[in-house]
Amino acid sequence: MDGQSEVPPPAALADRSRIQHQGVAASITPRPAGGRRPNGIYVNAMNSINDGDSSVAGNSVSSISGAGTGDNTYVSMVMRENKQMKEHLKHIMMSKRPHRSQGKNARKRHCSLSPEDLNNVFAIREYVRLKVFPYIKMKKTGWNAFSTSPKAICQRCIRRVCLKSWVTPEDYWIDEGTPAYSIAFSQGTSSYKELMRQQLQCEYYFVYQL
Amino acid sequence: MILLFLSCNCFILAGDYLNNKLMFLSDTGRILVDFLLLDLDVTEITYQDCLEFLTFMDYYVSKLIGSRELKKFCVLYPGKTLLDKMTASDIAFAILCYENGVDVWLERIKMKRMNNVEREAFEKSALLKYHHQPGTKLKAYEDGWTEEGVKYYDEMVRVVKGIMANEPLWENVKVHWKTYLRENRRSSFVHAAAAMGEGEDGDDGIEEQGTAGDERINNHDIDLPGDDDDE
Repeated sequence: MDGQSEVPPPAALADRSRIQHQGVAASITPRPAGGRRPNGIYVNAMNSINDGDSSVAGNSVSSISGAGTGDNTYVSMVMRENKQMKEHLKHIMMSKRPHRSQGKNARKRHCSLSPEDLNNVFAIREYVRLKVFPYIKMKKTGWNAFSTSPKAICQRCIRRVCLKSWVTPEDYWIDEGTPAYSIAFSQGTSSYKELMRQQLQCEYYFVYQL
Repeated sequence: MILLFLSCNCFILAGDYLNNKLMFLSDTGRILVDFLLLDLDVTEITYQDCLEFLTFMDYYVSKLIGSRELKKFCVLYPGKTLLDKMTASDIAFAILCYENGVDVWLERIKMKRMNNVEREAFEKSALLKYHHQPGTKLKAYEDGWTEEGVKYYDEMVRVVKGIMANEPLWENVKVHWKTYLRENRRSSFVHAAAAMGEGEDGDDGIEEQGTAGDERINNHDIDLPGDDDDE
């Protein structure tokens, strides 16, 4: 009962959220000229900023409704600003981490690939699968060293990817190319070992019988 | 319950079938010893002498390429067989993997057939021969093969390349491969691909075997067939 008495009434909550929305809007982006009240679209965008997630924009419905035309340019500007702020915050959080693990599992875990990066990874994988793996099955010590020799693994892979203008080939090879090559190579060997084990245990025969 | 019953029956069938695919292991734990020790001067080989090698190619080496790739290959090169597609590296790697893991796999099969009491009392003794044991912490980007395994693989690549370079002998093996297919018909792409090549000749359009490992100076440099086209 005590707990219930401490909860403010719904009307008060609605007022408070409206004040919050207006406050955030005022602090982040300037109001449009002319003293026009923000319409539903604006408030939805502000909600998304306040929640820190642009994907939820449109879920919350503002109690403020009024006339006013939808200014798509302004909304897109707000959304873009929100996105930039999130990116900036992400970099700050990453740099603030006291200890960043460097092992193979960390490399696998902290990856978010753009479509261009995915295309590059796919190109490397296909190259390894079709051209390299039939002739080379082992990774020798020092295979991942960067070299300018045209026969080097790194140069062969880099020729097949599209690099961004601000990324050097060496940086790309160390950060992206080496893991992609290594994973593609390991997939080939490990899947073959598993197939051979299944063949020995006759699991294929077993499955076909069912 | 029905599924379990079916599973048990099929496992027994599989167990019987298993004996056909187990390769003969020598005292040193190696397979295909007689075939791999053939002199370079030998140009003729009987079907019985290379039967073990052909069985190994059929059941194990063909898994390296996969049925889809094999089907694609047989459409692209109708006159070719599996022996044309597989490289020396493929065969050497298959031998290495088989010898490496066969003891462990057989031990697992043995354990599968035990009841719970027997399984608890059983002590595992089989180890991987050329690979670090499961659970060993590896450095980033390492593949886990021991130094001995890498040396053995290089040696196998050299031996198989020698056999494949002996053209009369290799052609003879290809003829026996077709005989093998006729005698062991199965509905698989391996056999379909090989059957398409029956009675046709020609080595055009096939890439030369890789020479990786022979003239390597730096480990990050690799030699692949078609390097000239690549540049």
